[in-house]
Amino acid sequence: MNAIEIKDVCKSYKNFALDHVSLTLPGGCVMGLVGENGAGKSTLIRTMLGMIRQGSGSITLLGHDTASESELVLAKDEIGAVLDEVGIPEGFRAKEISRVMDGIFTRWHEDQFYDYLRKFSVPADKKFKELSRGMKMKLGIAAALSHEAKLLILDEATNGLDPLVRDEITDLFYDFTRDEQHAVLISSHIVSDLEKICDYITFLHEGKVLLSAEKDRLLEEYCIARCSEEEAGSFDHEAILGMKRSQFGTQLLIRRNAVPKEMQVITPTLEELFVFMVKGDA
Amino acid sequence: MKGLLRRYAYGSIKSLPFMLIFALIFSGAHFLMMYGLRIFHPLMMQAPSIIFGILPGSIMLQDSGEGWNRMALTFPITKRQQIGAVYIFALFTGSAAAVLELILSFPGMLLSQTGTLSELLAGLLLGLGASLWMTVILVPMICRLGGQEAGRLFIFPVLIPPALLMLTACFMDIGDPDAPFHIPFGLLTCLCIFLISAGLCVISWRLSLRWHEQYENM
Repeated sequence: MNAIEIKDVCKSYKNFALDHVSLTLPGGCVMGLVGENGAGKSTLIRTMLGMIRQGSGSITLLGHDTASESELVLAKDEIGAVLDEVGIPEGFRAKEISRVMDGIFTRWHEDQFYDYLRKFSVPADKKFKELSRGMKMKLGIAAALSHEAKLLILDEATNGLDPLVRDEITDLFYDFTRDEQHAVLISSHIVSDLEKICDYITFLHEGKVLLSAEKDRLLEEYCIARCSEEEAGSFDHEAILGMKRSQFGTQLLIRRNAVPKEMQVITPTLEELFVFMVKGDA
Repeated sequence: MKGLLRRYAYGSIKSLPFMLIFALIFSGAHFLMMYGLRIFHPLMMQAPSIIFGILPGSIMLQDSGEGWNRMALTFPITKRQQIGAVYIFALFTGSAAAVLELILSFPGMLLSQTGTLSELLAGLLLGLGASLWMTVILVPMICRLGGQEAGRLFIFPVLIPPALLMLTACFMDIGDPDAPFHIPFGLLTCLCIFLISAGLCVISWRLSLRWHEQYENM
């Protein structure tokens, strides 16, 4: 079963619109949602979670069509969501958080919550306001994982965390997605983080999906070729995804099968792929 | 819904000491005005209810600032339940405040040898009605304007009832100083005041729900 199926979702604001966004995340996978600030990542996630009204299109989460409010509630009972700021009341300690969550989720596991807190070295006796940003985020993730969530949605949740914490969280996602029924959608503009953990990648730019595909297939399919302006002109235009010109020559993001075998190419990073697609003039 | 009510319960436990101090200060001021300055306003007895009535709105405002309201939208609850929880909590708080109010005015009733059963009931209804006023105003205001804007304006509706009480107490001749704890309205009038407050509460709930559903600036 697909964890997420989004088809042709549109949502318009005065100065911004999600434009026919479609993507699919199979179970057991991690998808990275990449885009610059203001690309529409948070809007898409909030639309998925019913936090803001959907304009048109359809969203199915864990088999539940979110157009129906009751189905959306059922879906959210199996979703752990962590937004850029964990909104737990500042005066709460772990015990109070657990009691509140127990009244919200039908399958809340207090023991599991405390296990995660121990694993993350988050002190359970401290008030939420006394924790560092990294600790707060880890507490938010612990809460998101302690109610048998099948889908984890993180909206810029790892931004601003130190590399050690980010690494811990990355390990956690590996463990989480070992179960084929589990999936993770993580949005970030720090592409290097996503490169390590994602199976699927979706590039969002100005409210549109530039591409949504398996990461390994993308990296196998495309390469960066350095050549002269004349050589660049000789390639099949359809195969070129992006182009950068500088005084030292031309760089192309191009399908591997369109490049002559003798030509030296390099495998792009996700960041390069994204930058080429957004800024490169194909 | 149960979890949201628990959140409000924890929030109110944390705010309880401050609320009790305020309620005691008002009751003390009431006594002082009556016996010291011979200024009497029977509705001063309703002050604890009004003070406790601020609680649901102030917790909601605090939740808005701390991101809880936004986080709650990721939970398996509807917006209707989210708003409904505030009003249910307001009823709980109002009931508790009305009882507290009676307890606080009981010594005075004994001293002045007033306070019949119907007067006690009238006081309870009046207290419950008064406790809803703040929720009626504050919750739709937060839903309409959002936490930040509402936070800036929060103090105005909160100050209106005590200011009115003080002003009318100082400049109008209301009540009977010889029977200071006598509630100036009959049971029927108090029931009407309560029903009007409850009706306004329903209107306020509907407005809050509509505005909460429309509000997307998160």
